[in-house]
Amino acid sequence: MRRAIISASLLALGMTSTGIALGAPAGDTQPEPPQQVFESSIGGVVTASPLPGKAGQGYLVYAKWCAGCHAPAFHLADPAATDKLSVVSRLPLGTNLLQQRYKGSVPAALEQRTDLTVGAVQFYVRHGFNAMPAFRKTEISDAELEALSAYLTRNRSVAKSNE
Amino acid sequence: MVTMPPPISNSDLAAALQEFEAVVGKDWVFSSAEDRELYNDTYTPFAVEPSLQMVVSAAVAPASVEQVQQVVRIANKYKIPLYTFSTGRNLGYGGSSPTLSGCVVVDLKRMDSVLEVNEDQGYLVVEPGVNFIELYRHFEERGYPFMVACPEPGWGSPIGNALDHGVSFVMGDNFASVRGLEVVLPSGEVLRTGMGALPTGRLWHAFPYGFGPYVNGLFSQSNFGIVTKMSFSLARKPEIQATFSVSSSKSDDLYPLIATVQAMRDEGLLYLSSAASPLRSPMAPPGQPAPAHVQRAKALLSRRDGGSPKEWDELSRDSGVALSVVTGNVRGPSRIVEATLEYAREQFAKIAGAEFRVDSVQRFPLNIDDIPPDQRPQFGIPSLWPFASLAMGDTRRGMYFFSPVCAATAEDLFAIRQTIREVVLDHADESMRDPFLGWILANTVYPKAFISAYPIAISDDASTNKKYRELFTRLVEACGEKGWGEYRSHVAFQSEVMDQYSFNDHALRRFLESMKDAIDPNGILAPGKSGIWPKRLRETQS
Repeated sequence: MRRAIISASLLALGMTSTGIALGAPAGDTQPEPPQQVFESSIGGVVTASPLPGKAGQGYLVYAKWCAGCHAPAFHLADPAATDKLSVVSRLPLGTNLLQQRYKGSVPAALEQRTDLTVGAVQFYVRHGFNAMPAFRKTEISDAELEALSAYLTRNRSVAKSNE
Repeated sequence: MVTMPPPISNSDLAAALQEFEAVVGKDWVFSSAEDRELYNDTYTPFAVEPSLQMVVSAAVAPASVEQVQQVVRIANKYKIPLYTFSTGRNLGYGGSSPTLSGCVVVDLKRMDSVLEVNEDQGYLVVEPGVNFIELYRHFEERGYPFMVACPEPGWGSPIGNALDHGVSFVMGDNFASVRGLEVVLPSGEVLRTGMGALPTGRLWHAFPYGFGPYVNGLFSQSNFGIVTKMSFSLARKPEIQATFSVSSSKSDDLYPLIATVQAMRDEGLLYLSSAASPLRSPMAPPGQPAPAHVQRAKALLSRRDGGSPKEWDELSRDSGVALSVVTGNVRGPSRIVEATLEYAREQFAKIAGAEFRVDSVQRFPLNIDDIPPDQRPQFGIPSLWPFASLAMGDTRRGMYFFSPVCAATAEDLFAIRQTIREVVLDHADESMRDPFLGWILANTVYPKAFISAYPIAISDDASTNKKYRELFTRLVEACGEKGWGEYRSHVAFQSEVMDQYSFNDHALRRFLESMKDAIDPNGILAPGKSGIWPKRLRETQS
C-alpha cells in the first residue's frame, strides 16, 4: 500500500502543469505530497492561480471550459520543432478564428485581451457563437460565470487607466 | 410557444414542473425561454429552418438517483415525455436535443461523482455527469496508473459516450469495456445488472453477465431506462505506446495491407488500426490553386468507375503521394512493444514495395509539454483542442455525420466507397460532391468493422441544407440495402436509420416496441430514440 502511494504521488507530480519530466524510474526520486490540481480543456491539469479572489476562481473556470479553444498558441520547447507543427497543433479553434477575424488588432487569445467586458463574456457563454455552443448552468453556474468574467476582464481596468 | 406531443396539456406540464421543483429545488428546473435555449442543439441540421427544430419545454437537473426516480414518477403521473442526457455534448449527433419536440430534458450533469476507482481490479464506477476532463483530473490528483478512455473532444462523459456506442483512442469500443449498470426504469424502480442483482452485489464490477439474459446492451442507444451508474474496465498506463504505418503506391496493395493489419488485431497484438488513402483524399489549402495531382485525383474520383487501379498507381508514382495506407497501435512493456513492431515489420515485408514506418514512440510517464494538445487524446489525456481542425472549413453552424459501418476488408471498403460515389454522382449537385467522393479515414475501433464518419456541414442556406438532408437519406438507404447500416445517428434521423434494419418485416424494431410498451406504458422516456416510439406516438410519427 505504501509503495502505491509513493508512485501515485510521483505520477501526479510528473503530470502537473509545472511540466516536470521524470527521466528516472519512480523509485529513485523522493516522494512529494500530492498537489491539488484542476481541470484543463487543453489536456492535462492546472494548479491554482496566484490571482486573488474571483479572478483566481475564474481562471479555473477558464482553464476547464475555455482554454481548449481559446488558449494562446502552443509551443514546444524547441522553436524549430514548433515551426514544423500543423496549424491544428499550434492554434486552437477559437484563437485561430479570432486571429483571422481581428488580424492582430486585439490579441487572438482571450486571456490576453484587455478590452473584454463582463457583458460580452456572459453573452457568449450563454448564447454561444458560430460553432461554439452555449454553456448550460449545470456546466458553468451563474457564480462561476461571474468569476470567469472577473478573470477575463481583470486587465481591463489597467488598460483603461493607462489610456 | 412549445408544442407538446398530444395529449399533453400545458396545465399538466405546469403541474409537473412544480413537482419537479419540489424534488430538485427551484434552481434546477429551467423553464424560462432563455434557459430552454441552452438545451437546443447547437449543431441542428435545421439551423435556418426554425419550424423544423426540436425544442425542449423545460429542463430538470436531478442530483441523485433518488431524485431521478422521483422525476420519472412525476413524469408518469402527468404523462410528460422526458429526454435524458449525461453531459449533452454529443455534437453532430444531437447534443442535448431530444428526439421529440416538447420533451422535458433530464440534465444529469450534476450527478458528477467518481464513485470508485479500484486500483487492484482495474475498474471505475462513475455517475453520468462526470466528463472525461473531470475524470482525468481525478486520476491525476490521486495518481492512479490508468488512462482515460476519451474520444475527441473531452467534454463528453464516459457513460453517455459508451451508451451511444462511442469510441476512444484508448479502448476503441468503449461499450465493450462496460461492466455493471444501475438503471432507473420507466416505472421509477432501480435495476442493477449482472452480478449487481445479487443482494450483496460484491462482484458487480468484476463480471458483466451475472445469470440470465445480458441486458446491459438494452440500455444503449435506447429509451428503456436512465442509467445512473456504470462501471468500466480501465487501461493501465503502459511503459510505451507506439504507432506504425505502412504505405504503398499501389491500389491493389490495400488488400494485403488490411488483411495483414487485421490478422495482427486478431492475434491481440494491436489495440487499434485504420486504413486510409491519402491520394484519394485530395485536399488543397484553402484559397490556393490545387496542385496537379489533387486535380487529377479529383477527376478520377468524379468518374463513375472511380478510376482504375492502374491510373491510381500511375498518379501515386508521379506525385509521390501514398495511395494505400494502414496504421497500427501498440502499447505495453517496452520489450513487448519492440517485439511487436519487429513482428509487424516482418509481416508487412511480405508485401513488395510496402514501406513500414514507426511513426511515434511515447514513453510513460509522459512529458505532456512535448505532446501537441490536439494529439493528447491519443494518450488518454482529454482535451477540447481537437476542435481546431474545424478551422479548415466553414463549420460556423456545425455539422452532422453520415456514419456507415463496413467490414474491415479492402473488398468491402472499395465497395462502399463505390456505392457512395454512385449515389453522389446521381443525386448531388457538383458543389456538394467532394466530401463524399474523397476517401476519409476508416477506423477499426471495432475489431472486425470499419466505421467512417462523413461530416455534413450545415450552411446558412435552407435549400442547400435540404438538399444535403435528401442526399443523406439516399446514402442511408442505398448503403442500408447493401448491408452497411449506420452505427450512430443524429437524433433527427434516427427513425430513418432504424428503418433500414428491416429484416423480417422490421422484427427488430417490433421487438423493441413490444418491450417499450411493456416497460414504459405511458411512453415517457425518450420517445423516438433510435426510432423506438411508444404506442401512443407510433401512429402520429409514422
